Amino acid sequence: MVDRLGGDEELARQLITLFLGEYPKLMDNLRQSVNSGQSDAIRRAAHAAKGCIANFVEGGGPQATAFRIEQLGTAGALSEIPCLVSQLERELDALARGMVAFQESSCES
Amino acid sequence: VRVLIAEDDLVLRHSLRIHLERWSYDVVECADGGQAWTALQDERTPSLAIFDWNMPGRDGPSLCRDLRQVPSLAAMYVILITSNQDQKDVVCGLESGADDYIKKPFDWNELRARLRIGSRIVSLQHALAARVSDLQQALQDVKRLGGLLPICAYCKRIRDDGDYWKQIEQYLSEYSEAQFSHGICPQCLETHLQQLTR
Repeated sequence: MVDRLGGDEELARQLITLFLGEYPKLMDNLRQSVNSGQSDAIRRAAHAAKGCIANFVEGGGPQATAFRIEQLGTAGALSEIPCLVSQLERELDALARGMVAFQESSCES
Repeated sequence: VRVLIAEDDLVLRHSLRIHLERWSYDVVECADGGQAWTALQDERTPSLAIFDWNMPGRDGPSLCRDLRQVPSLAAMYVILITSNQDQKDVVCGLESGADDYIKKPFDWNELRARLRIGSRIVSLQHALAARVSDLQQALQDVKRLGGLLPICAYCKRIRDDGDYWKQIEQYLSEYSEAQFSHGICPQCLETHLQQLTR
């Protein structure tokens, strides 16, 4: 990610701080849309989460999971979605831990 | 150059703003399509805009369609950004009125180059509009000078559109690039010299 920003660690730290504040809201929104059972709301919430994750992760991992949820929302196939939301939550928590570690290490150096 | 960014992803919006400001653009930041539409009504209309495709309220393509209907916004250069990967989305985005289209995740140097193209096109459009305006004015002046001029048979003053009688040189100076240097022709010199010497 720092490479994609031309090696700008300061900007990377700013974006990580924004993401750490933002992703719990995106997950809340996704969970609420799943509880509502409205496939279009699920599609939109998953699309927003996928876009935000794509700022840091290209393909695979949480981005792929969010994309899968978006596709299922578009198709109206909701049965698998709760399980995928839990998986996405775990993946994002792991990503967030990695980000916090990066923040701490770059502060120390 | 003023650029409007409409992007609901807070992280990408911040990154866009930081990059564009570093590239010396004057940035207007909007978190959704509704905010963007309100910002577009501002007197200081941006020359370029970056619209995300999927946003709450108005999405990018509908913003494009709407702004092309407004004469003061119709010449704006718009880049759509989206994670939609389908070829038919590219066509649909461009047909909505966008000038360019970039897929996420994009390379920052590519965006910079595309913005430069947009700036160049916008400045060419402005130069062309100024030239057309100059030519229209010149054509109006030529038509006026080429038409029937009401002139006094005695004093040779010309009546203008405001019904004022003007000296011929004053009239021509106002409606053409002609400039006058005053002198006395040999015939008049002889006549007036005789009057003076009497």
